[in-house]
Order: sequence, then structure tokens, then C-alpha cells
Amino acid sequence: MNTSNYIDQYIEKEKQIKANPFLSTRIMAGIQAPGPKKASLWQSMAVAAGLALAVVSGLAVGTMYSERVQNYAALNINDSSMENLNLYYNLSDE
Amino acid sequence: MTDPEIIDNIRSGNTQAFQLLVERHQEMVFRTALGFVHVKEEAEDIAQEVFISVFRSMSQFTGQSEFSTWLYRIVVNTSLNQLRKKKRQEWLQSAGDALTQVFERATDDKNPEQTMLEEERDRAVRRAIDSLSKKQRTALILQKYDELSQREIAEIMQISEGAVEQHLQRARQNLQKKLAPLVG
Repeated sequence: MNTSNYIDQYIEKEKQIKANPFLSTRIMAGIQAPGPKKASLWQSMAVAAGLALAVVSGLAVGTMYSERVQNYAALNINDSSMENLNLYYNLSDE
Repeated sequence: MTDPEIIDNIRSGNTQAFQLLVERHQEMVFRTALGFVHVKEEAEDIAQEVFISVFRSMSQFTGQSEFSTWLYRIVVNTSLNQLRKKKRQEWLQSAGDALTQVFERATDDKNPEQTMLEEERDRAVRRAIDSLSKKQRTALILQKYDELSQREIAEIMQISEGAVEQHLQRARQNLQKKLAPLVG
């Protein structure tokens, strides 16, 4: 058997394959279904702007926080009868 | 009802008339798509896509050529696009084939060795057809699967009859070269 015969045999075999008998029903259902909705340019831009705004807001809120830096004012009452009140300031912050 | 009459009916708003067109041409569309993809379910998907595309672009059909010619062009282009999009790797295809063989072999009445040889031969033929260039493959499928004349193929592919003959000749030569080991 030569190659032409093999090719013809293969093609004849494939030609015997029949489509699903309900293919036409499926096709008509596909036609009657609403097509995929494509978003307009304005809609896409609005969504993108919203996302960008959310990201920028998040960054802004995140950078607003700053660690409180306390300047300790040491109360130095140089009185031999009184303790140095600086100690009390430090203890209150622990 | 002829195709132009059905088309006029559809254009005037009768969607149900499209079903006549589908029933008339679905076998041809399926068979042509099958020639490209070799898988029944994929060919059915392509057929659905083709008819939906035809329905939506009905206004673009000017009637300069026959409806069947226009339809063939859409089938060929859709099938070629599907092949391009196809993400399935070759090894998956052969794994799928192997699985199919495992399940089908049990019920096969033929000699297992003969069955295996036939399957291997079919795979080789399929691979050889798939390796042809787009134009050679298209011309071959339209000739062998749809039994169209060279003139009809030329009209569908929008090339000369001489070019069709050349593509068919080269397709046959390439197939013979690739399948020579089968003959031994």
C-alpha cells in the first residue's frame, strides 16, 4: 500500500465522523444569547482612576503616621534638699 | 428556498430563518473544521463560532460570490485561528491519544497488533498533514474533505487555479516524503 492510500484511508475515516445531532440547536442558542458586553472607554478609565485613587490614598494615609518624639525637658532643681525631677519624667514614659 | 432568499429573510429580521441556513451547511462546516483540528468536539466548537460570526456579519455579505464560498472562507480562517490559539502541547495530544486507545482497545474486535499498527499509521498521517504549510493544508483539506474542484478552491482561497494546483502538488510531495518510512 502506498502513502496516497494511507492518506485517503485516514481521510475517509475522519469523514465518517458525524457532528452532534443537536449542533444546530446549540448554534441557535448561541446566536440568541446576548453577546459579550464590552466596557466603554470611559468605564475602563473610571475604573482605572478609582484604583489609582485608592492606591494613592493608601500611600498618603500610610505616610501620615509618624513616631512621636518626646523631648524630655529635664527639670533640674538644683536644690540639695530636692531630688532631680528628671527621674520622674523618664519613669512616666516607660 | 435558496440561500439568497434565506439571507434576505434573515436581514429583514427573521432570526429563525437562520436555522435553515445552519441545517443546510452545518455538515460542510463541521467536516472542513475537522480536517484542520481532527477532534470532533473542537470541530463542533469551531462550527458554532463560524455560524455565530456569520450571523453577526450577515450585513457584510454582498452577494458578489456564492454564500457557500464566503462560508468556506470563514471556516478556513476560523480553523486556522483556532490552531494558532491551541495551547495544547503535542505531548498532551499524544497522551490523550494513548488514553483513548487504552479505553477503546478493550472493545476492539481486531487483532491488537493490527489495531496498534493502524493507530500508529493514522497518527503519522495526521502529523504529516499538520506539518504542511497553511496554504497547502487548506488546499488539501478543501479537495479531500470537501471534494471541491480546483476552480472552487481558487475562489475560496482567492488565488489562481495554477497556484492551487501548485499547492496541492507540493502538499502531495511533502506528504509522500514524510510518510515514506511507513511504506518502508
